Amino acid sequence: MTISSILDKFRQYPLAWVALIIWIVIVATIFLRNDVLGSLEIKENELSTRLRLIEGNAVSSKNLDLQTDELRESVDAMQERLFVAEKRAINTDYLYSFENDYNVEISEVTHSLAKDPSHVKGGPKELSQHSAIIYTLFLSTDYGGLMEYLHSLYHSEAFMRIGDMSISSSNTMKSNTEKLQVRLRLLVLSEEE
Amino acid sequence: MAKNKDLQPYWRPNVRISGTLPDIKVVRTDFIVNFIAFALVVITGVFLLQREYRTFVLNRAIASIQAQIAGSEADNDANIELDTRFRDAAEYVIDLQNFYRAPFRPYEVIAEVTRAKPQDILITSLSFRENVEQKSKEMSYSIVVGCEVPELTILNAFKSTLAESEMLNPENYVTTVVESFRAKSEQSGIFPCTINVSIKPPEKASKKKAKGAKDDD
Repeated sequence: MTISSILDKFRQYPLAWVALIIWIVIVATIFLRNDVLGSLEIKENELSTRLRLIEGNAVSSKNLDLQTDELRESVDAMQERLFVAEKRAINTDYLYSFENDYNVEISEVTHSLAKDPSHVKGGPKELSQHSAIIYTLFLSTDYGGLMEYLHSLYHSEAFMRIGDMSISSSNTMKSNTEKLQVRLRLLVLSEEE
Repeated sequence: MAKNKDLQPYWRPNVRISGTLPDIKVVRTDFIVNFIAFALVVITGVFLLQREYRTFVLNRAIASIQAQIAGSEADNDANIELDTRFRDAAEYVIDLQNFYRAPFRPYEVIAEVTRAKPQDILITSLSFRENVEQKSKEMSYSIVVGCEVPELTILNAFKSTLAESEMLNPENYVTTVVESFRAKSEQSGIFPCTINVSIKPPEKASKKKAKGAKDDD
């Protein structure tokens, strides 16, 4: 194919040739700008998601300041009721103080340095901001006194709960006034150690 | 010569210059070629324009969203900080919930055992113990009641009452009650006995089995 034959063809279909050149330019433009549209769509999607998140945050945060203040006050009040591990004498004295209000005779209070397996990291009742101090208490009381005392432990100023408990009697528990020997493993919520 | 004329009677020399002859087809080739070329340009052009318009719209949308985000960025930062403060404070409360979380309290167990006790049975000891299951890392509880009975039927009745107790059968736990007794004392005529109440989370295999059985129903 010579130049003259190409020129002949051009002379024969000039409009088609011009159209072909325009078409090539258009296709090249589409090809070159292909990434632009894709990246703009991704960017628009990301920004829309972020905007929705911001709007969601605004909705979720409605009145949250008041709730946070109230919660913070409750937490502060709660923190004041926690045992402090270093104040061992004060803690032990607090546990003995129940003798004054309830019909129990506490013969021994021992403080254990061991950690309760339920409250350690990964345990079923994991504590993230607190620790639990373990005390073993030996006491004697009658049935009514024991029930009152145990109930009071759960409703006292300090946060306490019973881990293990063993009650025995030299005789059988025939009457409500019979003396019972009680061993308690008491867990007290304390500041994080 | 005469013989040749007879052999090719209809042959004539073709002296036409085909390129200069007029196009007499119904639809001329010029028109078809130009039409196809023009159509191709129009289709591709419309496609390009549509993409460019979409790009323009996206650019405008992005600018608008960026402006909105920039306007609410400070508020959002404040909201996030507030949320962090709330979550931090909530962790203390969650700790307190975790500390007390249990299906029952020991004094409730004593009350329940006392309520379930038949009149003729004498309780000599009671122990309550909580454990952490090694495998599942869940809480389990065991209650051991030491007792004395004149008749084994009474022990059986006590065991049945404990096994049916609503409090000793908490949700998501499996309760088993096992009784044991020693030989009858010849002096007092009573059977020293023990009742073990074990309250454990269901094992995964038995959970699946129970579910399968329910589906069968």
